[in-house]
Amino acid sequence: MEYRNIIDHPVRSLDEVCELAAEQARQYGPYRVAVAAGETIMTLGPLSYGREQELIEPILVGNQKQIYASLEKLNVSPKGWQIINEKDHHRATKKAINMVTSGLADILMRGKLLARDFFQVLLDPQLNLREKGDMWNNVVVLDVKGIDRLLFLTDCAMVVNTDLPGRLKLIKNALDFALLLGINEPKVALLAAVEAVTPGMPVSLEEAVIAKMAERGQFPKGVEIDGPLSLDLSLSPKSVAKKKMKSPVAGKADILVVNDISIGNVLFKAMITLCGAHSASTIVGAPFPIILTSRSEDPENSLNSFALAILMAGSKE
Amino acid sequence: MTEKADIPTLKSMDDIHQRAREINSIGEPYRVAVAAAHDEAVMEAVVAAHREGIANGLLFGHAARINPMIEQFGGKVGDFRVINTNNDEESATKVAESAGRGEASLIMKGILPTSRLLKSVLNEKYGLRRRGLLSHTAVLSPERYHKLLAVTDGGMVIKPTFDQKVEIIRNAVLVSRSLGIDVPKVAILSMVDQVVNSFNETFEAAALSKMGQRGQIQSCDIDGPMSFDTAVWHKSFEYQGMASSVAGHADIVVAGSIEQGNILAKSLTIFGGAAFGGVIIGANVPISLVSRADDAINKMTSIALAVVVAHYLKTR
Repeated sequence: MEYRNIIDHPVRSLDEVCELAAEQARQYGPYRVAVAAGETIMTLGPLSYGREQELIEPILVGNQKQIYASLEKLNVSPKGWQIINEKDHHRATKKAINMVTSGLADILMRGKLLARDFFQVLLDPQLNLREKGDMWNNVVVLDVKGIDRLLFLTDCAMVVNTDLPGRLKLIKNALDFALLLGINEPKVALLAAVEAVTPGMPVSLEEAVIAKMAERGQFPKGVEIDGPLSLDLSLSPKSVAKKKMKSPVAGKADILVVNDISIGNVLFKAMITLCGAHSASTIVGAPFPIILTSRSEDPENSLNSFALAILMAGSKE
Repeated sequence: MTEKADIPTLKSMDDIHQRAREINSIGEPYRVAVAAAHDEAVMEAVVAAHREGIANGLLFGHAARINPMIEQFGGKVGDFRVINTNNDEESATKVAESAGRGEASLIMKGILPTSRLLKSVLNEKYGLRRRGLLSHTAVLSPERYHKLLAVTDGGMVIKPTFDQKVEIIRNAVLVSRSLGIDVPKVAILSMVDQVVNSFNETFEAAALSKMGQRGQIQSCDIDGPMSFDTAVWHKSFEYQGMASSVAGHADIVVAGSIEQGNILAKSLTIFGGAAFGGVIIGANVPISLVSRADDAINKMTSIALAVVVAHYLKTR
């Protein structure tokens, strides 16, 4: 998707993302979120909260009976909620997608079903949402104590792994997305276990190639890309000083690119479980905003993902 | 099957330091043979380890550079044995010889390529080589976790095969048992907690888990596939309603690649307030491996961890 409103300064925290989204919702009214299989308390709790805040207007596509039961458990009156009764998760996902593509909703959200089942429906060639050769990837936005900016981590939830051309597309998507949040000159770290180009580690070779492409000006102006870089050299100025590392990215990375989803996934989960980070998660490259919340996030954290989707949806003019 | 090791369970890095001191107080203090010791970062840790009663130093390298560094970090030259060597190869060879003769019970890498050191350590003529695989285990103390957490392998084996994962687990179990955890809980990391047919890693994890149940990997409680949040965070598996004795309480997490293990350990160190010690297991003596960017205290912890493991190897 082309983002319609570009923020004119770098957004530095998820609190700020929430403030900007609230402002946008005040101006244009709550954003309509079509929720695929949104039956559980885990999904409905945050939705109800977002609705109270007048950020969003959920449209629940799922098992109506279960939805009523969950709302009752949450002590929330079902009055005024838009519910489309559909017990089958596959069909519910399809209907939720249709609502967004036909303009009846602004944002798509995954409910109870597994990510891979959700994507299976979403990427069904018959729906023709993703054009051949296009890349969609997951980006997790992290707000980390001790870091004065937002970090963008890709991919933690969607692209298992990909070849070099695929990785370039994935980086391009992340760059466009960073631009939406006002980060005009993003620094991209290609993560590895070491900073030396090591023939036995194929990851480090591919990353060296991408870094060289950046040096040769094969990425947009203002973008800095370097790799292979270890996590500490990407983010810790102290480590950079100790190792006397010279790199335009080291210690200052905005975007962290991992070579394999299993690395992104464990890093993301370590950051939110044992490192106290807050997060918002989304899909970039898709024609409309998609909310994926993680079970590891605290329910109030889901608001961050709603807010991010609202910024992605942009102005309604 | 699992004998009790009769070691108090160590719960913090201070406990590991204390345990190393206790071990040294029983008999002759443990000696660490350092290859290419002429490096400030290494010497800072070696001098601190001596001062703290964690290990004595047997230092190989450029003596003319090592001696002033001892004083620079507040040590006395007379407290260390310094053996002058002229190059990395000589340094590595002499370290392996010396450990092979039993003059040192642990080895530490100084400023030379890891591969150079390991080449000598694995040379059969020094008698340090065992049948198994060499692998790296990091022990971390994340502030938000209720116990120590071992991460393997983020430093040695690049992309372990199934057989290598078995060896990596055995090596890490040995480290945990030396820390007084008799039956460590081992989580085989994956993206998801279910066996999923498009993810080969989940098949391997399931098979490893079953091997644990069948006693093919002993002295531990293995479960997987398991996502990291399930392994360490009780909140997560409660959502899922999963029954697992490992979930929420893992002592060891097993990564699928060096990148995954390394980045995980570093995230916990940089953002999770974790102190860190790392050791290579698989030879007859543990090898302490530190990075230039590690804090001095973490480097000393790596030596203490190697002392604790070395003692376990000798006495088990």
